[in-house]
This record gives sequence, structure tokens and C-alpha cells, in this order.
Amino acid sequence: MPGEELRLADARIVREANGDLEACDRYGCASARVPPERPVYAVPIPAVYRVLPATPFIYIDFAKRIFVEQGEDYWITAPFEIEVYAGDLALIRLSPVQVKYTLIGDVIEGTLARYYRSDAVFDFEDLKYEDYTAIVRFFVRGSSVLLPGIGFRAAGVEFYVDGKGRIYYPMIEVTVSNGNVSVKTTNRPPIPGLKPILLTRYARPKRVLAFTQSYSQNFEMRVDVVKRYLPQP
Amino acid sequence: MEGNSTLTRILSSVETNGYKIMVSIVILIAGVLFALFIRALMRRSLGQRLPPHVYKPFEAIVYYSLVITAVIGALYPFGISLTSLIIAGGFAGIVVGLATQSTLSNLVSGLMLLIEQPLRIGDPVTVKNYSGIVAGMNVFSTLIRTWEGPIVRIPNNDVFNTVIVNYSRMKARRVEFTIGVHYDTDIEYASKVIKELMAEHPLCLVNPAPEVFVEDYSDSAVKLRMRCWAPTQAWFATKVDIQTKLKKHLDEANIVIPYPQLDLHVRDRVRVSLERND
Repeated sequence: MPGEELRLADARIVREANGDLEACDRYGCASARVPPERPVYAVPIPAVYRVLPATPFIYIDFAKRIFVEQGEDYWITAPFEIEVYAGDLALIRLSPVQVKYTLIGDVIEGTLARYYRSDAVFDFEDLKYEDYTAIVRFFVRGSSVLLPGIGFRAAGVEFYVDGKGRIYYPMIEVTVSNGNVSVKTTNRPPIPGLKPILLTRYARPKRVLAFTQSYSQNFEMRVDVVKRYLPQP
Repeated sequence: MEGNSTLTRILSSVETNGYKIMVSIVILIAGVLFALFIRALMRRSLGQRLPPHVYKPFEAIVYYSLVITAVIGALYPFGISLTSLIIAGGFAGIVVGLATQSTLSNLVSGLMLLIEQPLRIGDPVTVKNYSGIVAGMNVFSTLIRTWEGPIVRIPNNDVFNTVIVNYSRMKARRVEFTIGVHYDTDIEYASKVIKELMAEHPLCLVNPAPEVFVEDYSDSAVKLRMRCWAPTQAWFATKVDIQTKLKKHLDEANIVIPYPQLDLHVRDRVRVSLERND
């Protein structure tokens, strides 16, 4: 419904009654005129496109190195982005948080990754979660090691959502062997029973955060919206 | 009557040379089969790796060389001397080789470039003082679309024998420039302000970390060198953006970029007299 605004940290989407749509973050804006009867969607996507689709990886730098061991799991936060759709057409991708990149390894052989800093915690309850971040759970196999951070493939992954509207990356598996750390992004939900909210980037935005209802300035309402758009069990 | 005698002569010739003909046919068939086998092998191993405009002529050269060799081999049972053919071919080769020396040189260099692959289509490069994007590569020449737009054709021989700078092979490229600040400026503060600008910039990498240091104490300013690494594909955009924002950022922090200036110190007192005409 026109005449609405959706804000999420730096990201802002405004839809005027005359059909003007403006979507902005700290790096720029896109605007369009969309017929009022056309739905406008804001779809959460992995944070690997804004400001430059330079890498499929995200690197989470831990505020403190964490001692990890076989069979344990840990919680961190990671950024996500919002892709704004007018009907089936993507208008812009927005980043609610500051974008930074980092190089892991050598300039020639290394890997470029989107950079984010987060606390790694043992218990979910200790996680400092904000509306503009997604949640990552990683599981450790192999031997113990002190981890300064983890990088994982994020492009094209499916997000999950819980009953409180919190967004989750899929389960990440960290394998430590002879001091080498390898990381695998699975296609399993981090908590059994969570529902996917976006199938692939080619999927039609059916099960996404819709922007057709009257929203207030926070993101709490997405719970209802997601519930409405998710297939009921 | 005459027709009968011709037929008889042919039949008698076939009878006499039958063995030779059979050997010739066997050599020819074996040679062609071998050429086909080599072609299939090449298609499997090189066909997928080389671009079609390069692979096709290369395949044709190898295939037809083998077929011609088979044909020459098939003539051997009839007493046609291979030596004389080779000598004749050798002479022809020398003549053709001299006439097409530069063309062949470009061809060979093109093949060597394709094997070594110091550049690929789409790579940002500098070759022989021409900078731009590799727009095309074929067996004789390489096309570079310069940053200004024109397409430059460089013979492969020159490309192969010159220094090539390829900017796409690294994941990140360093952005750096020098800025002068006034001698009254607190250098640590100025460094901090410049570092903040780079830390805020989305395309300045966290690691390797941005750095600022004093490069020179010049006549009018303290020269600060600033460096950060950016994703290779965004190097130019990052450089331009930081350069543009730097002035505003320094102005906001009350850091002065001085004009060239010269302080004159007069050692001895000098009497200056002024005369007025009125």
C-alpha cells in the first residue's frame, strides 16, 4: 500500500502515494515510479552484492579469538542485504550496515571477502543480535584451534527465519585438521524446523518480506509478514 | 579395336603394379586414419581450452600436414623419390618462409601467447605503452581497447617480445597518492584524519590495512603518502573517489593544504630611501 516507509539501519525504502518509490542506503539511491497496485518487496539476500559484487565470501572477524573444539557449536552475527523488487523486477540492493572488504591471504593467491566484525559466543542467548544482522551458527569438527574469524561462501545461499522474524544463514561447518581450517556452507537450517524465506535468486518473490502492508519504522512486523507468506505446516 | 588395346594396357599395368597400388592405398588409409585420430585427440585436449578462432586454423595446419605426408608416403611404392620431394619442398619452404617471415613469426608468437596466457580477453593490461582492456586475440595480433576508446592492433610478435603488465591477476591493487599539509599541522592528527577517510571507504580493504606516513619535508609542505588496497576491478573508482573526498575531509578537519610559498629572511639591515616626485 503506498505512502509507507521501511527503515533498517542505513537502508530506507519510501513509497509515496503517487507511486514514487525511493530506496537508499549510505552508498546511493535508486528511484522509480511504480503503479500503486503493484506490490513492492524487500527481500533479504546474502551480503555479497553491495557495493560491488566482488566476492561470494563473507569473512567474520571475531572481536576476540575463540577457542573452538570438536563437536561444539558457536554463534555469530553476519550482515545481510536487502533487494528491493517492484513486482518481479529488482530495483536495487541495499546494505543496512557499512560495507568493507578484506583480503585473506596473499595479493595474488588470496581471497577477497566481505568483512564484518562480530562477537563469537557459545550460547545463543549471549548473542548481541540486531535487526539489521543475520545469525550464523557454526559447528566444529576435528581438532581444537584458536579461531580469529571464519570466512564462508554466502552467495546464493538460502536464508531461514524463526518465529520472531530473525534471519539466519544456513549451518556452517568448520573442519580443523592439522592446524588447517576448512569451512563449508551447508544447505541445512541452523536450527531444525526453521523455514527458508528465499529459495534462490531466481525464485519469484513469493515468500519474502512483503512491503504491501502498513509498516511502522521498525522491522518487527516482518514476523507477521513472513508468517503470512510462508507455507503453513 | 583401339579401345580394347587401351583396356588391355590398363589391365596389364594393374596386374604388374597391383601390389604397389595396394600398398599405396594402405599407406594412404593408414595416414588419413592417423590424421583423424590426432585431430580427435587435439579436439579433446585443446579444443576446449583454446578459443575457436585460434584452435580451428591450428587444427587445420596439423591435420592437413599429416594428410599431405600420407599422400607423399603413398607415392613412395611407385618410385617417386621422397628425397627429391623433400628437397623441392625445402626450397619452397625457404622461399615461402622468407616471404612470410613476419607473418609466421606472429603466428608462432600468437600460439606461444595462447599457451603461456600472460593475457586474456577482458584483462586490463599495459602492452608496449598502450594501456586498456584486451578486446581480442587471434593468431596474428592482439587488440587492445585503450582507456580513451580507440582499438590498437599490436602484432603478436611485439606482444610476445615486450613487457606485459597485467592488472587482473591480483585480487587487490594498491591505491596511493601524496598530499601536502602545512608545516603547522599536527602530523599525527592529519594521519589519523586521512586514515579515517580510508577506513570509512567501502572499497579500501581492511587487510592489508591502510597506511599514512611522511614521505618528504618539501619546501612548502609536509608530504604525506597515503596507501590503501582496493579490489582490482574497483581500483580506479576507489582512487578517484578518495582523491575527490580528501580535500573536503581535510577542510572539515581544519587541515590546510598549503600553496607554494617562500620565506625571505634579510640578514643585514638595509637602508631604503623613498623619494617622492611631488
